[in-house]
Amino acid sequence: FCEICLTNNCDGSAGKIATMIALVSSDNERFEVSEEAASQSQTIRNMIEDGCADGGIPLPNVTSSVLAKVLEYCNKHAATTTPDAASTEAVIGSAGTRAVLGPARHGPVVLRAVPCRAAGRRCPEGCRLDEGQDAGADQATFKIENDFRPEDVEKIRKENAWAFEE
Amino acid sequence: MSEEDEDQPPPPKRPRASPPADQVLDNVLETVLQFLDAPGDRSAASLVCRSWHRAESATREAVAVRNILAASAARTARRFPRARSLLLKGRPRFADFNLLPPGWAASAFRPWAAAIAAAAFPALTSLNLKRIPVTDADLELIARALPATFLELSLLLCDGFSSHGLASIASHCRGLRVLNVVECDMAVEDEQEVVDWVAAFPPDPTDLESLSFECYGYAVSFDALEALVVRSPRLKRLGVNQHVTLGQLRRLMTHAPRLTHLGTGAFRPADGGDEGIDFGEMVTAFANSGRGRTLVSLSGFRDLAQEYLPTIAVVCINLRTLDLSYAPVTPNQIVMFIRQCFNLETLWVLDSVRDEGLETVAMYCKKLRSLRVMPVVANEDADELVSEVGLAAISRGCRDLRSILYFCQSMTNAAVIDMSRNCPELKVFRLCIMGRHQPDHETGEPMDEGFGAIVQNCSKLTRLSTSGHLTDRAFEYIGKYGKSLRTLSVAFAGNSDRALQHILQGCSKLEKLEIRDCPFGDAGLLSGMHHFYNMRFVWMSGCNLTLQGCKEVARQLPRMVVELINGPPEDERTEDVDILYMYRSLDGPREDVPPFVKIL
Repeated sequence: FCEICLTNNCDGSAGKIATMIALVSSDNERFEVSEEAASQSQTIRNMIEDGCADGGIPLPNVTSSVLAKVLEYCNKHAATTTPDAASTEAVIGSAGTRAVLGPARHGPVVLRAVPCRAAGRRCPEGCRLDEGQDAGADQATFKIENDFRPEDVEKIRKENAWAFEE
Repeated sequence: MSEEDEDQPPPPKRPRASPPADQVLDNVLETVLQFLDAPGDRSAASLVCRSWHRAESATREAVAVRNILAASAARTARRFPRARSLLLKGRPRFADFNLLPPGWAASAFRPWAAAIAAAAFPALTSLNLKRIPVTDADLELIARALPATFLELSLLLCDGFSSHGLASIASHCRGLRVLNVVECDMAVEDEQEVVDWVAAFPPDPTDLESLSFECYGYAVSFDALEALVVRSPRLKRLGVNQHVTLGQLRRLMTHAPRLTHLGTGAFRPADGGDEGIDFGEMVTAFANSGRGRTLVSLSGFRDLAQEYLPTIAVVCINLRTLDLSYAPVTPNQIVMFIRQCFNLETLWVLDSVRDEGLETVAMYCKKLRSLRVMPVVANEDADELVSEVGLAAISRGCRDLRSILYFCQSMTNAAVIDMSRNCPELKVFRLCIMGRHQPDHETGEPMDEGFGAIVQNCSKLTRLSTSGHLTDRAFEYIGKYGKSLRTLSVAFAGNSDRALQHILQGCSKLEKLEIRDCPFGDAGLLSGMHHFYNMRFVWMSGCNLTLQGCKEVARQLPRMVVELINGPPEDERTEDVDILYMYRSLDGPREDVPPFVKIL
């Protein structure tokens, strides 16, 4: 694991002067990440390209603790994109009030956090998950390698369908 | 969980070495997957990869096993150790019509009670059982295993337990919030043996939010009940049984002014007139409870004294659910309050309201989503009280209808076709023409076109019950257009195996199929081989199935549990099958098999 470019497959190019981008959480913590990692997010990439990223990119709706976790996740998977069939797309978004991630069901699915309206679950930060519309500009999509053997997938799928689903 | 974020140390300013990726991932995943509620999402998450599967299993709180025989308690506990609520469903629905001999799966719940007692579900707070035999011993086990944490028990259409089981729950589960006993067939007890389970609640203030025992056959001590309500400040739902008189109800209502759901018991003053409750007092009682506008649901009326029914009028404006299924209300009576029920979404009535009553409903209850019209006399020789006139009126007036159950003596295709056009949002259409093989009574034609129109025009239809004289053509329509159908009930219909083939080959989303007394044989059954593993169950009784056909299914689908019920004794040489009930099971066939069941 390379601590500079924050990827697992560092090719040493980041040892040169890697362009670092600062992401600023809602509680004003700065997270420096490589531009490459940050650009996984379309929104951030746009801001970089528009030259708005110089002072750091504010993410006023994401706390530092959440952002740290999201970045860890991003960093792990940024390097493991394999174009194989047995992978699932997961989406991380920082739209709304919180970064969330979720699996794809019929293609990339966006799970976006929205403020809690209905009395219901008490979420730590007053959020609940809502299935978003499409992979909008402020989400990033990652491929996750499916490390199940095909027979395992089949077993779980059967268990889900025969016993635990609707 | 909610504190986890805040407890973490502030992250360093520079990128830091990450902990082992899997561990981080699991933590992140568990954090976030907590918020995944929808069952479909959870299933999808569990298939993504190993760590997602782990995280999803560890965080699933609401676990549902919709066929208790499909998965064992042990398997369920292994996969979802942190389950907080368990929903279990048992018998097939046709058991409600006495088609299934009692004792069919008498100990289905026992392993679950034992698992709970063995702390296999340590986080369990809520149990929701439907059509499951539950014994007093089971309830005692659960109550003793989880006295401090068990919060909710809902028993719907269950049987076998008695007042003793309820007393165990009441006395041990100190934090109990919900105790709902609905439409249960409780064990008969000697009068002396009946325990006053209401008096078994501890004397301290309770956390009760919902207490419902409308089906309970014995009288509870009213003093104990009143005291319980007084010391249950959070009570929102109260459903009392028919032994609670109108005067007693009024007193209970004064102690619980913020009820949302009220089951009104007998709705009749005590005999002997000692109660002296008059109309005005009852109106006042409802007016007071209605002042907070919290009351949204009324049921009960189990021994209705007709003259008091209009007292509910004052709360009708806020009602969303009204269950009059135990009250033979006439058209003149319903008109006295239904006019105010313009927010009503769910209405259950008896056909005593007649077509005129339904016309009034159609006029005023524009938001109606779910309607049940049930027969006072469930017999094909009974008087005709409602007909196609009522159905047509409802379809014209209640365009938002999602679900209808309609019992009648006869019907016309035209009215059913009208409904299919007027109510395109229908998800549930259950028409029960009570005579067998009844054709359209105006044209003499089979009811094929009516049901055909329903499946064709109601694209969101997921549940369909047919009746009347139906030929194979009706099932051709159902197979061709019923692409969203998940549940199908068929009785006394069809001409041949072609009908069953249409169903099994056309209805690609079909999950539950219940058929009785139709001329369907092995060929029809075998035409569904490709689909049976996608279905929760198939029930066929009184058809033309033979042992050979059923054996063939069992042979080709080894994970299917194929039960033959009420078969002939071993020595009798007949191939006929009385009842076939088959379902998928992950853990193989059950072991407790009564003598009248043979598992192939």
